[in-house]
Amino acid sequence: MPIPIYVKIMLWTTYLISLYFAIFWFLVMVDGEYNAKRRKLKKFPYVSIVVPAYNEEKNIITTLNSLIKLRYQKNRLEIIVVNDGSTDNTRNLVEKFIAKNNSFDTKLINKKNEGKGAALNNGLAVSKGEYFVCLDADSIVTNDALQKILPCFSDDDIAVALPLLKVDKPKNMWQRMQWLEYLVNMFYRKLMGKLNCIHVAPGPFSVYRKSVLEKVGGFDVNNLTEDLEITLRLQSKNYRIVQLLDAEVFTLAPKSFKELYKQRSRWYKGSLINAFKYKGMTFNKKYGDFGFIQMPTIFIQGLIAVILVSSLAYYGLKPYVKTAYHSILINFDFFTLIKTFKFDFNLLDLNYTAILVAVVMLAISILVLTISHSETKERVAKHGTLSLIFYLFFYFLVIGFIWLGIVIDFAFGKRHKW
Amino acid sequence: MRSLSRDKYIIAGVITLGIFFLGLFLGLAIEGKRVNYIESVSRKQNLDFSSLQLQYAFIDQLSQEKNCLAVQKTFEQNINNLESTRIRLENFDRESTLNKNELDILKNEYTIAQIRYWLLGERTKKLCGADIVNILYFFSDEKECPDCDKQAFVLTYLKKKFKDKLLIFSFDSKFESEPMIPLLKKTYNISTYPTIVIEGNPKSKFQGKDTILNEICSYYMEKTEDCTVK
Repeated sequence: MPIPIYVKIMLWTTYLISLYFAIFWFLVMVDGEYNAKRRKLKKFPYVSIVVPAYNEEKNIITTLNSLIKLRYQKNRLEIIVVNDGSTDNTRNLVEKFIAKNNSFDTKLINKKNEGKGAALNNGLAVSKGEYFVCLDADSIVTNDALQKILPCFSDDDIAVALPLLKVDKPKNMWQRMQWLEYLVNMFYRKLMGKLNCIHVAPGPFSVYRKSVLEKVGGFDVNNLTEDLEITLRLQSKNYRIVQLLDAEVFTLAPKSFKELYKQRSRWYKGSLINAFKYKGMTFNKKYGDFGFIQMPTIFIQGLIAVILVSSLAYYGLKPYVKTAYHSILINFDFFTLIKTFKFDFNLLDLNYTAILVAVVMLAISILVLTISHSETKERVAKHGTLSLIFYLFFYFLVIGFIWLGIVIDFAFGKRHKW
Repeated sequence: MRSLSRDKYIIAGVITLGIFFLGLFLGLAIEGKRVNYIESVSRKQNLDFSSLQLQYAFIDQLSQEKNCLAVQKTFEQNINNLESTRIRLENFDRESTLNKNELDILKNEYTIAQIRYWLLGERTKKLCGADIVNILYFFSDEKECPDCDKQAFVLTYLKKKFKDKLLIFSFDSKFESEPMIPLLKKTYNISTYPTIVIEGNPKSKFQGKDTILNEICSYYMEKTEDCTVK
């Protein structure tokens, strides 16, 4: 089937932009070793961990248990659970937990439901720590995480340090694909950190310097993705954000397409809305690489995904749909078609340009996947080869599909609900 | 002022363009090879046609009708080769960027070859009394002829059903640089697409499987199983 010239130009542009970004980050990778500088902790700084919880009865206790196992001086640590108007048993469970573990400084704040940003601000207001940690109630921390993260605040302009985030015990294909995605994202974020280009400090165990957080005014209470907004705000004020690959935190990942769609739809919409909020940073020399590579990436990643997925679906599937539809014309007499099928193949029939593009893209993907495994100290194919194959050939379609949904939502002016 | 990795932006741009041009040159090299391939196949097919013409002349002049069957087999084989090369040529033409002119000349040759075979087929039908039905199929692009896909699908199916007893010659109605196309269109009064001409009778608009099957079966002297069972 002929592809119109404007579609060809669009696809080529998409390919070249993606290739350009891949090569750029490859150059960043090979340009010297980078690890966040660490200084020895002379004393244990006071740390406040805030756990915002809305209907988290299933996970909250596991999360809190992982916190009391942290290897850190007990009297230098406070845990603040902000119950954001849960309608389930969260409040009771936390109260029981506090009664049982009274040797720990754990507080519970009950408030009406206002969203995560407001809950974090409530925690921030009462916190006493020098460092402020937010922890989603569906995440588990390894016990040496704090000791590994805190020494990274070696310079005064470092505002946030991020742990290595992994998907907790992936059980099905959706979670296994996300397990791989997280590894790649962590490696990618480490590269971003090299140029101070990190644009999001995710919910699970991001450690903030509290004084900075207070100076910039805390979290945005009316935001789909308050974690992304605060990071962009910190970037706009030229603070540094570092990514570590040794302090591990595990998080629950959506286990079905429906859950994944809901989560990603919020994330990606949030990233677009907030990128528009800080659009002045784009291609602004004042913000260095962040303005030149990261801001444009946030803007065009969705566009690239949508173009790729829609053209692939349209031009890849249309011939098959057509044949299926045409089969009515011959009363589904496939026997005649198969019986006389002649194998007429010539090497020149292959579309070498398309093959070259596919090979280059696949090679880059495999390279990134391999390095991501080694950087995060994970064994390749830990969760099976099948998930690797699905991740390489199928997952980008899923993400593209979600972006397509977002474009449609924006086009019809649909607001996102939490 | 924050740092800007200017060098990396430039190097990444140069490498990206390098890969792009590599792809472009590969594409052009392949296009060149495709043109050469079609040209060489076409030379061979021209030779095949001359040989076939000679074989029929031999049968005709020396009354060698007993050899009709063997020669007809060659005829059928040649036509199949011609058709598969024509389809390949259409595909190459669709993907080509720089060799449009060469490919157009080749398309011209194939159109002429189709007409030559059709005329030769008509002659041999009389000479050897072959039980064959000819269909001329005039198609156009998707804009002018949204039903051409359907028509081509049905014709391909019927060709597979009747094999060497049905000869289909396809003509791109837009290809008017070959004077034979407007001439044929005028002869059969063709202005809409798809149009099929079964044994000289033009039928415009999409024709379903059963309509064509009934029509072609009415021309066969010996009705095959496919004509009775639908």
